[in-house]
Amino acid sequence: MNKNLKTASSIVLFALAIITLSWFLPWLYSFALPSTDSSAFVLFSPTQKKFIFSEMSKDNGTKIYDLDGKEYTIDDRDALVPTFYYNQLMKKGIAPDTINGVEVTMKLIRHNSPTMRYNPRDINAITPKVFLILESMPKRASLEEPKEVFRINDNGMEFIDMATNTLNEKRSAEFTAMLKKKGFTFPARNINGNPDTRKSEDDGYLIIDNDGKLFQVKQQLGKPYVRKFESKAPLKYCFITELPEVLGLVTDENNKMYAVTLSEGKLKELGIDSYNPEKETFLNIGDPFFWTVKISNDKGYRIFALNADTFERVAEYKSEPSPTPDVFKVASYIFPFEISFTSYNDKFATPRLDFISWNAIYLNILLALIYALIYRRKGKKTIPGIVCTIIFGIFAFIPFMIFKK
Amino acid sequence: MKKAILYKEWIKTRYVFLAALVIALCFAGYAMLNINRLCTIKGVSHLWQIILLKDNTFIDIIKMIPLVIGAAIAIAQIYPEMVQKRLKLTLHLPYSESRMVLDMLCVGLLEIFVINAITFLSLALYLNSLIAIELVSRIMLTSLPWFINGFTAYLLVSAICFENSWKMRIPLILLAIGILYIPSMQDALEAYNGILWLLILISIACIMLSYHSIIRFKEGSQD
Repeated sequence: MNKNLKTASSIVLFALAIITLSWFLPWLYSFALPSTDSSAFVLFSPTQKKFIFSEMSKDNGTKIYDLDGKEYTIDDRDALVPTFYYNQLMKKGIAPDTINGVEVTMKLIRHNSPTMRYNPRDINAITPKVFLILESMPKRASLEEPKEVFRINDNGMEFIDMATNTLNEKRSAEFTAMLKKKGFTFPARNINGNPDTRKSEDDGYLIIDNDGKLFQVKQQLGKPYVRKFESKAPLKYCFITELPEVLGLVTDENNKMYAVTLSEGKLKELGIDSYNPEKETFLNIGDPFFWTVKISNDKGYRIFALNADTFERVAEYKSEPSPTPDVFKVASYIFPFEISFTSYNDKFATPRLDFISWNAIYLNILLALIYALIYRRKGKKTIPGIVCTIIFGIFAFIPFMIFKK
Repeated sequence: MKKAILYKEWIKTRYVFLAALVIALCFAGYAMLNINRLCTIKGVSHLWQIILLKDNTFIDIIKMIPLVIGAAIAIAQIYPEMVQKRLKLTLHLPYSESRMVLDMLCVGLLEIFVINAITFLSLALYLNSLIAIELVSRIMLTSLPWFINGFTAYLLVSAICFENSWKMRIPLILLAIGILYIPSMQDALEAYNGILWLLILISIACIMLSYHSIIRFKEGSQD
């Protein structure tokens, strides 16, 4: 076997070893030395009109405070956010009859306290291209199991009977014709619905067409129901909520967010600065008076209190950038970079450089000197090894020590 | 000479190949029977719903089968060469050494390809009779990294078997574990669609590891 084959096979061996170690060693490090990542649970007090922060600490228990620095007990907090802790207050017999002059009951709070959470992990994923569709006006009181799925492609909306795996041409033609009549441009940009039969009513799907226009599509007695919602800018993502007044939330190409109101039939802008569904997590904990919206990303979080009827901003808070944990600081002096195949923000397996640290250059040079010392007799042949160790640091040094020949 | 080498490799691996084919088909058949059972009891619509709402592929049971088959064929083919010290003799035959190694590996790879292709196609055709093409491709694309892992496992285990020294064999085993773990890092469906080319590239690169082991063998590296 020739010399070239020997060199090529050695290069492949080292390359595979360096790639594997640059994933494995940082993973092992962070697995062995986990860092705590505490983020406060924040609610907007409908009575005091201020944010109440609850922060869990492994040493000091729960710390509850407001932005003025005033600390509260758990009982104080329950009274400050009576809508969220109404059950607890009822158990103690101190639940208020009215909040802000409005008579409240458990039923009112339960029906008007929406919780929504949208994670970039659900956006950055390959999702099925067919969707279950319910009958929105079933003969029985409860919703029935779906019998068909639909797909939207360049040609229109196609219905497939699940039992026979065949196209329902009649329904496909009816829905396609109705969508075209309402101005839908095929194919769809984003489709979102909740085909769960345990819910009481079905509002079908929110669909953004190829031009960024929003439509509600549902099946009523087997026939198409299509409603178009006007928007100022082309829309990008939609999230169905099926609340009594809010059909869903949508974002446009500038990351502005809107509520799709049912009674007014239009989009109302939410009083948040921006929300990028591909990179940020959206959490809303609402009550009949206010929505507390938390938008978080790698750098920290922003909180907005919105009026539950108008969605106008009432208060806001922006967290300080979270400090780098000490274990990560140490890691930056050991590892010149890290390759990871997975991320909390998506459902893809793909190699990505998580960080590049210049701090590791000191260790890299030290390891290169050790390498040069060990292999000093090989003369010029050590140069590639020294260069590799300076660039790849510990990830190259380990294979060089193991595969000495 | 080439025919003789190919025949020699076939003689060594034929029983393992046939056993692996039967095992792969048994597991694929079990997955199909499981789907059939669900469809009989709950209806085909229920199958669609679970695939769409629960992200269930129904063929997860075959996930490790290609890997095990790849490793088994490599052991059946290469291990006797090393234990019975036949490799030295093989390398002295009047035939290009590098070509000889490649021919040997190609026999194993071809056998794995046949087993994987039959398993893959039987599952795809069965699913295609029940569910929409979008869902068939979703499930089969999710399973592709498992099948590619079969080829990678074969090449890595071959390199480990060709290696004559435990000092080198242990790092190779650790490297093999790291590489073979890649298709198990992300459970989400179709998560590997974007890096199927990379998995194939890694698999092809692993051919070089066998050469590395044989070059070391020729140089006399041993414990």
